[in-house]
Amino acid sequence: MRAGHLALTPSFRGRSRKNETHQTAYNFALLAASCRSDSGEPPVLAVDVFGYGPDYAGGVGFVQGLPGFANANGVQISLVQPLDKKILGQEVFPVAEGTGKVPEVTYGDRLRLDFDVTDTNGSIVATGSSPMFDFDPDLERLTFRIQVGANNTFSPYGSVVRDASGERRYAQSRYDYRGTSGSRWLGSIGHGAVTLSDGTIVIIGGGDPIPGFATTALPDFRFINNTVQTFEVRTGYFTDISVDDASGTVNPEDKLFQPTVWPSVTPIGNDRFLVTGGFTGEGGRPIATDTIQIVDVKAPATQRVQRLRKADGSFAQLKIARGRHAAAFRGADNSVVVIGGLGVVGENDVLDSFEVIKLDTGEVSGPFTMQSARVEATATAFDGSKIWVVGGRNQDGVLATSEVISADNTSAADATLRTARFGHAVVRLTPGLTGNLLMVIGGYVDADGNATGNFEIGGLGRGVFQSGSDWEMSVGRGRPSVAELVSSNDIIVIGGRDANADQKSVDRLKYVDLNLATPYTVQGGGNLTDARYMATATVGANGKVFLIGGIGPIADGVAAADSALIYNALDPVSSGAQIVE
Amino acid sequence: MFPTPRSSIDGVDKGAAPVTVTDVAFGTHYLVVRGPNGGVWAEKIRVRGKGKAQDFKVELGQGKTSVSESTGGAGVYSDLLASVKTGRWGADLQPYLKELGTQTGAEFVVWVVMFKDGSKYVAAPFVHRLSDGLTVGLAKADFNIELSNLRVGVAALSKSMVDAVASPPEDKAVVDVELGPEPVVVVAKKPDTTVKEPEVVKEPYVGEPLQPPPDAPPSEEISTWTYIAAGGAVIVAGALVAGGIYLLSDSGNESRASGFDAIVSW
Repeated sequence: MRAGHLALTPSFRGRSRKNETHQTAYNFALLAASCRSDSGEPPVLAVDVFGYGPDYAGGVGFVQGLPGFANANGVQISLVQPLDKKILGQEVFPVAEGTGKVPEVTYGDRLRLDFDVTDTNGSIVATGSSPMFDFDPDLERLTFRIQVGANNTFSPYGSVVRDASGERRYAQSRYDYRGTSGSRWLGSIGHGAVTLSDGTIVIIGGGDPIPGFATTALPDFRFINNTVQTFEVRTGYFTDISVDDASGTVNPEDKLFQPTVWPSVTPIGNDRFLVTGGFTGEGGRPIATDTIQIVDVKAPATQRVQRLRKADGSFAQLKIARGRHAAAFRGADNSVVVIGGLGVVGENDVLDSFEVIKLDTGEVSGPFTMQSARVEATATAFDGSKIWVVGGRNQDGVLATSEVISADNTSAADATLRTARFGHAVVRLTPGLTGNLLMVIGGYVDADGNATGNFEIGGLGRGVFQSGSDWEMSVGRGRPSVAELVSSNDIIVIGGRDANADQKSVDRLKYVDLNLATPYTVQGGGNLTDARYMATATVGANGKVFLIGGIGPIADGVAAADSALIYNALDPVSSGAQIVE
Repeated sequence: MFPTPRSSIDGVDKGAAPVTVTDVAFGTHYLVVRGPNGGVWAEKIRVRGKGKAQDFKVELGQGKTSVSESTGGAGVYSDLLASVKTGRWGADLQPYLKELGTQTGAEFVVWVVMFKDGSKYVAAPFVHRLSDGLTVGLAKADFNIELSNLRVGVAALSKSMVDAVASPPEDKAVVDVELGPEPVVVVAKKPDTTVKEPEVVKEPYVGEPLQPPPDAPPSEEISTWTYIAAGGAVIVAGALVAGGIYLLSDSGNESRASGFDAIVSW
């Protein structure tokens, strides 16, 4: 037996034989195909942190670097694939180091960098995350800034702007006013908020109502928007898609055909959305519209908003103008079904019909008769062919009934809610996708503005909704803002109103197990500083919840907000996740 | 003179042991030392970084694996790749695959051969089960010349390989393979995704003084290289099972990185 001995010392000089060996590498593994230069340096993901929190001067605000979170002791950096619940790399550093590196992170797509600040007990006190990104051998370098905030808190979401002196600063992101003339205010409720496949949030229409309207009233609006804005988590910028960044000119073709609030905004595939109906007419009583438009923010300029046309080239229109209706995409015949809502007569004109918009031909069929007239109901598509319409209200009162619209354009009664409600939220439960389960959350129980904190779960075709005495949020919530977290499948319920009072609290419906009597438990999740009634809640590309618009105090008055808040719900890829070595 | 063992790293001969090697990059590598009488030591080693000398002692005859005469030595990995690269192979590939499995502990070896066929690229995936030597050829995927459909195609390939690893379709077993034209180098274009500094004033700033914004993310002085070699095939297989991970398998290109470094400043 003989022992050999090697002393290895890494070297960093250039290499040879590169071309020859690359040929082999490409042929051996398709995923290694690359045009990255052979500098020998590993590609770098460079992330700079800024935050909103204690600013080391006794105040709270935006801070370059890490804010002075109390008891901050360590920083844990994780590279994860949140959709697959995988942790690709993870390192822990003392806060005082100010920088950290996680080496040799596996290439992949839909990656995310999570930045967690821990206290002396190892508990996470603040977090931030990059947007999801792809990193493959083609890339040399990718950079992000990420905003860090305390857990279960709302923070203004920041972006870099130049102030009047030309200095660049962090400030709260606001809607893009470059395409808006005069002194118009773009703050909104009743806008559509949808996401693109890359996580960009698209905000469509909306308006600023005169405050103080009754629960079932159709408010007058000081302003109604014809804008389509995108909101990028990576930069924090809202961008009016009608503005040409290079020239600063405005393309009116890339605005909505008319200012619109409470249209339906329905994803129809390929990052396109069908915008249907809604109300128009600011400064007076809003009027329901019959327009049908397609929004495609990735289309060339001047082609991003287009009215749907029929085969003969004429514009497609709804048979009945309507707003505040429900809508859902029906894959079986590539159509969008618009359901109920309010007609042209106004807040008492609750419609009992639905129409079907064929996307292939632009033809609109109907109106077809519903089981009940409904406004502020919800519509959720199942199995590509059925649309479940739940709750709502009409002239007879608040509805507990539901109905299912089938592909043959008939509607049949289905399960009855345990609690009649309107202005509720629904979430098609991710853990129960194969079971066609729907959670119905909060909502108003009467026209006087009293709300329920109850939630219940039903399965399409099962004929019954389940609930329990502990299926109850901390407060009643009419028109709450709701989002489901990506990793935990917990559901965040924000704000709403009850008994004509704004709710500023957050309930987190923590997912436990759909097979248990209590499939979700209710946990407190912090509070809004100021109310944001009727804001939209959307999970952004960084896994955080973004609250956009909503009515609340602004300066010395009450108005709809033109900005975004980020809600820092802790939603890590769990410790039980698969760790890829 | 007593015969000396030969050492190799990642399939590249490094000379007679004992030897000091200075041209090995940061990261994971495969060390093989082969004695004059057939004893072999094969070990996965991790090189820590610049200026950090590391000693590796081997005991021939008690190595962590043995390498057969027909395939052993420094060239096993590169020979395997060279064979695959031709697009034409048969039972002659088996010893190399077996050795790769022995070195890495993998149950499967997965590879994709890509070649140009007229105006398109064709990717031909294969899965080899080391326990019984079964090799299956899976459905080929076509890519347009611009590779604009790369993602969709890769996803389909990945799925087919994952499925095949879980349950190899024995009816697709292959013995002698002869693929189309000579495989070609594939160059995938990637758009610039660098965060751009704001050039346009989005809004006037009104409010309390704030901390100044950061400059562009720091230009990091890269002081390490990462690199992966003979384990690549195994990790590719594992990654495909795990879903959607890109890993570089390389045959001794010492400047290629197996991943990226994530650097965070706070």
